[in-house]
Amino acid sequence: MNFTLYQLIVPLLALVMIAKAISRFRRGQQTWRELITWIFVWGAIGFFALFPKISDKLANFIGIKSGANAIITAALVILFYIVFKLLVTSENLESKITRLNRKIALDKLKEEKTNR
Amino acid sequence: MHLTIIIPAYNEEKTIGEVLRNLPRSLRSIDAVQTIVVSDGSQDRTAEIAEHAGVTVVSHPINMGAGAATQTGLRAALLSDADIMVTFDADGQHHAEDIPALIRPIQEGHVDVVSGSRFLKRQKIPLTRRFFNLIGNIITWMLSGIWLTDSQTGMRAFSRKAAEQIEIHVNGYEFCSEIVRQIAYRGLSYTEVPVQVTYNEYTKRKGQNFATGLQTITKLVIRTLMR
Repeated sequence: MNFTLYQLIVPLLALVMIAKAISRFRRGQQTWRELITWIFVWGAIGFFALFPKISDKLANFIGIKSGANAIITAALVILFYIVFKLLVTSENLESKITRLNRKIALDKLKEEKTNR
Repeated sequence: MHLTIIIPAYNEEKTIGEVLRNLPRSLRSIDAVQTIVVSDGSQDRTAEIAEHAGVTVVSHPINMGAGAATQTGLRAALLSDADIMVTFDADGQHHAEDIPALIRPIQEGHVDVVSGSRFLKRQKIPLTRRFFNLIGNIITWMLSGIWLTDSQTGMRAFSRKAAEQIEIHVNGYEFCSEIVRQIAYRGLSYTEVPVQVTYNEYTKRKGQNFATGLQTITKLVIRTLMR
């Protein structure tokens, strides 16, 4: 089996990313779910970089021409999902800030009314 | 009957004083007129000027947007014994003389919400405004099933019943369409009444422009998809 530079660098990068995720998890900066997602995503990237032939087989099975296409398609789907989730999260955050803001403003008004 | 005029304002020190001076102190067949200015995190003298004018001021600690300010104003009005609530722009584009006609359908008990329309009466409105409003109307219609000639108006009247039911969840200018959607969702009755508007350099700069308009559309579409 011929190894290309790409087959060496990408799995190494994946390992580093997984190690970082584990260390974040240990410091309590990440939840279980995030850790598992990271390991799964980077693990898959590293795995398919090491064994590109398997991705070709998988692609054929799904009905996409080549392994690279399958990976890019999967990456796009995952990215869309993440962006969507981020949008939802930021919307929820914004709405929480608004409610807090409103409560502060209205509480002050109620206070002024009772003082009058 | 008690009327509360709600004015959401963000950094409007140049116009708020004049707007407040022009508002009616009393109206025929209305027992009391109260005004609430919602200063939406203004960094200028908006709140100060409003307090000097003797009106109730509710201040958001930080700027959240026109939708959030309008909802806070409605909540603040509901704390008092308001029977009718009117939202009114702080930039001076609306005319106080239109208020009696705006609230009449509610006074007479016909409807829950009255929308002031800039397009039901012949008047000078920039072509770009007309165009963007048309797009806003179409999107609002697609979201709510209600066709209004002016879906993006800032001048509306609500009965107490309507104000209690409507809850604006969006912060920005997309709240105009959100209100219409809630009218449809809650089965509230509504009508449109022609109102005058004044467009000058100031009001044009203050309102929605192309960039915020695009943002508004995106947010509306995302919110629809997320439901």
